Amino acid sequence: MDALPLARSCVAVAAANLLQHRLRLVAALSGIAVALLLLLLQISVLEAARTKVTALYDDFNFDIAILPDIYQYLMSVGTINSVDLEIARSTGDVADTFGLNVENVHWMELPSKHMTYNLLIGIDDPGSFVRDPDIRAGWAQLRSPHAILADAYSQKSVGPISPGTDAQIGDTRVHIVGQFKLGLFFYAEGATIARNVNFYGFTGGDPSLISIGLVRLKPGVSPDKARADLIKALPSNTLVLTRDELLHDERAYFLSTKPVGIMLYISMIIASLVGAAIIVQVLSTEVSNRMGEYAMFKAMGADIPFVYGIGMAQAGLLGLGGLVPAIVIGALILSFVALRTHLDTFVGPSLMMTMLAISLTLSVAAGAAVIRRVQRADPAELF
Amino acid sequence: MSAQVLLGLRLLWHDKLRLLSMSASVAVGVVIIFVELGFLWGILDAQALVATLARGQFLVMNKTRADLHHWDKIPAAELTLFNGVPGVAKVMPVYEDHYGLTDPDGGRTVDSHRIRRVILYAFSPIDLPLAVGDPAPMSAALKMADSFVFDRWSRPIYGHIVPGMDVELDKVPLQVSGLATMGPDIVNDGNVFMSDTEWLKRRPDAQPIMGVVRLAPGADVEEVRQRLLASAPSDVTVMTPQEARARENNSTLKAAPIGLLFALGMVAGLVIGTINCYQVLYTEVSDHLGQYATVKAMGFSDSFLNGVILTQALVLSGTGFATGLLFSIFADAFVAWLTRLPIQVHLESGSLVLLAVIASCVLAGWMAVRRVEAADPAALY
Repeated sequence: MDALPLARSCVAVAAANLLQHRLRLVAALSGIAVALLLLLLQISVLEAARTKVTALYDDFNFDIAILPDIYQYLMSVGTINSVDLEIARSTGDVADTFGLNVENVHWMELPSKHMTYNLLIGIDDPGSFVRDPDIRAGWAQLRSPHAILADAYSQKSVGPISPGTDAQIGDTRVHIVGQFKLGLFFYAEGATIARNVNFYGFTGGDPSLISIGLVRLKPGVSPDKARADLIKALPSNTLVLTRDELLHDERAYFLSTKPVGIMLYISMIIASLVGAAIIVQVLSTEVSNRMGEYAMFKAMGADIPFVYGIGMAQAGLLGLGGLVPAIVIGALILSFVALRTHLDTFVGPSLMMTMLAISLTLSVAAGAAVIRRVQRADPAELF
Repeated sequence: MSAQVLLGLRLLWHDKLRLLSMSASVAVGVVIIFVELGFLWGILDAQALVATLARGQFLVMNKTRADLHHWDKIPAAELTLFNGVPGVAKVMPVYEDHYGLTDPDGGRTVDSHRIRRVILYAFSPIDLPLAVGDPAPMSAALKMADSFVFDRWSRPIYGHIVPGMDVELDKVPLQVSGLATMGPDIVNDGNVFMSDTEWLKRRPDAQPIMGVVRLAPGADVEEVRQRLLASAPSDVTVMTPQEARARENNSTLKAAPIGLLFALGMVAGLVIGTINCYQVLYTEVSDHLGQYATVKAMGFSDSFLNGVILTQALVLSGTGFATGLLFSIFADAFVAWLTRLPIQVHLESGSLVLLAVIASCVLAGWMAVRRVEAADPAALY
């Protein structure tokens, strides 16, 4: 039999087999769908978290970052001396430098005086460093010493953050003149951006110190060579990382050291195993119950690929049948998560393809584990 | 024991290997629920650890400190005043700050960093405000000059740290004088402990993050609370460790979607448990359809057979729960070791899961009963 008609026949028989006991089919599909749903949610949240932890850095163009050697992650920074940026420029590899400050401050909503925590970000003149168009546009508005930009993705508990609103950072009254979109809810309930010259006024910090120095290299200079030159030139209390290293470290720290990443990975493994186990269980029962039919096919001279094909088609149909509701329900739940947290959780083409690949792999593995039993179907035992 | 219960038990007991495999199927759902519940519970427990470990009846904190992971201080002088409140035996200040701890192995296990952020707690070695180890050795270790006590439950990123070793804390070499037991949370990776005199020698302007209030024997908790509140400045809040814990749980669940994520995981476990139980009962019924039809032909009613199936469902919920519980204890211990979070099976979580599993197996049994009702004696021959 040709491949296409064979596949069609297998799928037709497999579908008829599955549809015979509807309630059981619904139960099996529900189980597979739930396992795939769990997997889909974990993959999406993990990927969104991976992207979000470096969201602030993603808003900037830079080749190398100069950090204090106690730097752990964005919210645990320490400081370097701003002179370090001058030293960096003197190496000859550097085209320009940029000072980035971060500090967790108290935000007071007015007039209610409700207090929340806020990630205050201080920046230099954007120049060619700032990628985000909202921040670039907002910079021009930051003329007054009390002017700030507010993160439109701040949590509701922060209070009103529309342009024109007044609030208080620490003891200093501030005026919101524009907005940007960041949504770093795991660092603080809200975020704001101020010019570096005003940042120190809000925090009471030493203006000769900065949290992070960003460096752009001259055209043609390799980041690795520049990194080596900077390490030689800068004091030993600094850490010099290329952009890729910084982003990799930041993500690795959150996903491999922090427990939520580990937990999501474990949940994904469990969900995969459960999905495969349900398919194995359903197929196994199916094969046991239909041993007579398989023996009959054999007695009638049906090819082995046809008999095996039925089992594999059943496995595939179960996997795909579970995937469809998992994607539909998952899309709804992920939209809700995105709405609440501003994490980029959604079912896009890439996630759909990943889920399809996982479903088919699980189905094929489960099918392969079970259909060997079909070989045992013996026409002689039929009567 | 009624005949239907006996028959249900015998049908299951007849093939012990099969009973084990059926129990394992139900246990899969139980394990998922326990693991997801353990994740959520572990995160909440870890975030509220400081409150849980407090050796006192009240915590006094700055009112602006909306959760236990921000560093709003309370003046030490204000805490001292509470010592004069009738019913208060002692107010013990707790200092907290974050420091850079240099990996003594020089290792860069995860990334490019050698210096790791660690949380430093400082308090009196005489009256320990936090239960982070045996009081006597802990006190002795804290009393040693130029030293600190390392939390043995810190994540492994700090390297291998043992007592007697010299380790740099903010680049100052200090001796590790002992090991404590506290554990990290989702924000912090590890802890070190120092005596308050040692700490104030290095940070003379430091102020405590909270005071742990221990009451005099026989003092009425509510009365003392009212007195503390009456004498507290307007920027100070007084709460029991349980209240601080509840507030922290609420704040953690609000701040991150972990509640939603792990709750969905638990629901998934419940659905999978129900479906697996249904699948195994369905198979069990299919395999014994001839026997059920014979029993029917002998004149037994459908309700008798339903009782047999529901008995099997209940037994499977018990054996599935027991198998799942056993596996979950090991699984939780493994995840706790990986994450260093207090993930374990609690009596409360165990009871909750047992009820959920019984309900799901009864539901599965009710669904499988329809298959028995279709058993036709005439189809036997």
